[in-house]
Amino acid sequence: MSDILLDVRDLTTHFRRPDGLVYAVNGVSFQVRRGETLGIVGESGSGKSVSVLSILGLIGENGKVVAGTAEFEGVDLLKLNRHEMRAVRGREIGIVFQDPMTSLNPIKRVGQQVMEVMLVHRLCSKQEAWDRAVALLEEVGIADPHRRMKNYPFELSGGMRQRVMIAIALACQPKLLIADEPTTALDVTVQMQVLSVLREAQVNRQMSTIMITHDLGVATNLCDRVIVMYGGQVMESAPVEEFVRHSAHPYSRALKSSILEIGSRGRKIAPIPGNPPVMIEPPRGCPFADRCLLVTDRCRDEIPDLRIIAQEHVVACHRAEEVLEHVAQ
Amino acid sequence: MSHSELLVVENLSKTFKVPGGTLKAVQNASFTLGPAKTLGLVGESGSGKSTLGRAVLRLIEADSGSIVFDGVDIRSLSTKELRLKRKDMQMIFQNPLSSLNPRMTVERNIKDPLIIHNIGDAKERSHRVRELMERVGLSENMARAYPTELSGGQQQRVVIARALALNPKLIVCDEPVSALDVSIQLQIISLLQDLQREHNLSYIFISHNLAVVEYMSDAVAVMYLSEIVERAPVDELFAHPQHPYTRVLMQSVLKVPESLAQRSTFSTLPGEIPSPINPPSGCPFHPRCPLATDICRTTKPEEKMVGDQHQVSCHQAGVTAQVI
Ligand SMILES: Nc1ncnc2c1ncn2[C@@H]1O[C@H](COP(=O)(O)OP(=O)(O)OP(=O)(O)O)[C@@H](O)[C@H]1O
Ligand SMILES: Nc1ncnc2c1ncn2[C@@H]1O[C@H](COP(=O)(O)OP(=O)(O)O)[C@@H](O)[C@H]1O
Ligand code: SF4
Ligand code: SF4
Ligand SMILES: [Mg+2]
Ligand SMILES: [Mg+2]
Repeated sequence: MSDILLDVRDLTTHFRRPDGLVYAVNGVSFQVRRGETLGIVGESGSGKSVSVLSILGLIGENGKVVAGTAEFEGVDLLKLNRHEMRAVRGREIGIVFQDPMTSLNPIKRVGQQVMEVMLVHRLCSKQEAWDRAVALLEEVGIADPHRRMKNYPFELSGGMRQRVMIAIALACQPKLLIADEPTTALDVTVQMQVLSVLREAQVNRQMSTIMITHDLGVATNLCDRVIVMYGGQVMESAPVEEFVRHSAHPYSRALKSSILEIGSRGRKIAPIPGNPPVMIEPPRGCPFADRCLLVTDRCRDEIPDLRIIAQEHVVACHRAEEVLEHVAQ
Repeated sequence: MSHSELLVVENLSKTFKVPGGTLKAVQNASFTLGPAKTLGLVGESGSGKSTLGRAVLRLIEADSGSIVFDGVDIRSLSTKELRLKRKDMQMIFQNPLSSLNPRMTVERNIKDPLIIHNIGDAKERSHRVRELMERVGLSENMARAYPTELSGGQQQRVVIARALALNPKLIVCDEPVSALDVSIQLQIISLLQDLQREHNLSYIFISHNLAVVEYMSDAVAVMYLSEIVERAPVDELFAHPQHPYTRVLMQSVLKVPESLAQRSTFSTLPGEIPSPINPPSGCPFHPRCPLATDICRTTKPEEKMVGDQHQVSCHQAGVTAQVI
């Protein structure tokens, strides 16, 4: 059995808009190991969501995966038809989105919704599904699960709805859980509760997780490995410890110094100038070039390849060695 | 003391009538704010931050309490007098688009308050708009753009330019950077700080992000379930947080760890903020407080002073500093 559960290569996704094409994802490659929690971080519009939605066959009518492969246990998900994809989604791969209100059915009791995913995939009988659903609600930290089974989504708080979404995602014992900004809309104390549930589930079930977040704090505290995206491309990927100590991409470094932490008071802040790219033209050169302090002519003409710079550490920057050297000094 | 303050708020309360009863959104809020200073307001969703900020500007009418701004009792002003005073008090919201007119150009949006208050002639106004745009970092070619054609960060710059147009003394900033990407957040924070220095602006800076509030503020008020539960100068609050809720909030800010050993355990409070329609008896925090005792369940704690300008509403304050 391969150690790699999901192997994404050269994924490229475009959208049609009235005013032209959007180059949302441009040649993204990454792997997810068995049992690993992978964090994908980046600012809004960097292509995080579109990358996973492409893999899951969930991009809208106006979107198209124009190139790439996404092998899940050796099977290319991008080649599956709708029917085959439905057998994978929700069963082999569980999904949690940012806004549970839009993914839960407002007029169905939450217990019913947790049971349904097991019944659709014919995992068990109705009676057994009820018992399992109760156990799942308990696992995700919902008190009094028997009573909660009968609630409608509007009767639950945002944090509780997100727990229900996680219960649904876990119901079929997926090999991979994909969570797209699951705590972004939550208060800090509730965010901590939900992160704790995710970590527990991850440890107890030995599944793999992709955690998409724009919050470096969340990614570095929860994940084993971190990928940084920008302009629809992967800028850097490294084990978390390597990432926090020796990130080699100017954008990763800028991102880290952009975070205010408690104790930052009085610190001189140096914001990254400019705005993220709008991606209405095909990528040419490094997407970060307009905002990078180290930019050279080469950066504007030649897309930097993702290359290995240390063990398990890849980076897409023409000047990564210099970045590392500079930091070492 | 109070004559050196720009703003003195005392016992401000606001309730809303809602289907299940009466919702106490803000209860007995008191604070002072000096010229060119920033008061940070933190607390979880629904704790009453925005309601307090709006009530101070009389964008909504408080039920009771007093607001003295620049020596004037704001709550006793007539609508007409209030309109004049509004020049000095502006507000910036989280979602910039909600406060801009989508059918007007950037230039016209910024010019609007000058027209409303009948300031300057056409030429002077145009000149002022250019000046403001340059100051907040908007390039001249954006003047004719419409708000929806700009990025979120640029839209927020337009809102800031418009708020500055009348040379206010106070700006209530309600989550001004929460909807923006981190790199853009820092740009806006830096801009707000520079503008404060240049124009002696006072800010009420509302945010649920404690690190951002610490960075921006001279003093901080922590709200929980419609009450200010702790208030202190920023250094004092972060060095000696007294309320159990304040301490939990501080622990809930995730830091990028330097090693795996330093990673967060994600430990936090149980439960969630209760409904303000039916708040708990005694101390509003008692159902979630790890230090709660019998008295907490029955008796509301009085606000007490525990240090220089440091106020806290907790029975155990001062006694328990090391426990959580
Ligand atoms: N117009 C209104 N009618 C009824 N209830 C209201 C109204 N405005 C606010 N509330 C309620 O008052 C309480 C305080 O709300 P407020 O918006 O001030 O909280 P907040 O601290 O700003 O929260 P957030 O962090 O979500 O912005 C909440 O329970 C809210 O639902
Ligand atoms: N349905 C869509 N139609 C057109 N453009 C889209 C659509 N979905 C996403 N995009 C664009 O694709 C790019 C990447 O978006 P996304 O993956 O959602 O970013 P994020 O990293 O914030 O998740 C953005 O420029 C976005 O505007
Ligand atoms: S390739 Fe060039 S522009 Fe891009 S991050 Fe590296 S140095 Fe900066
Ligand atoms: S008064 Fe009691 S319940 Fe309230 S915060 Fe203090 S210790 Fe906790
Ligand atoms: Mg997204
Ligand atoms: Mg608010």
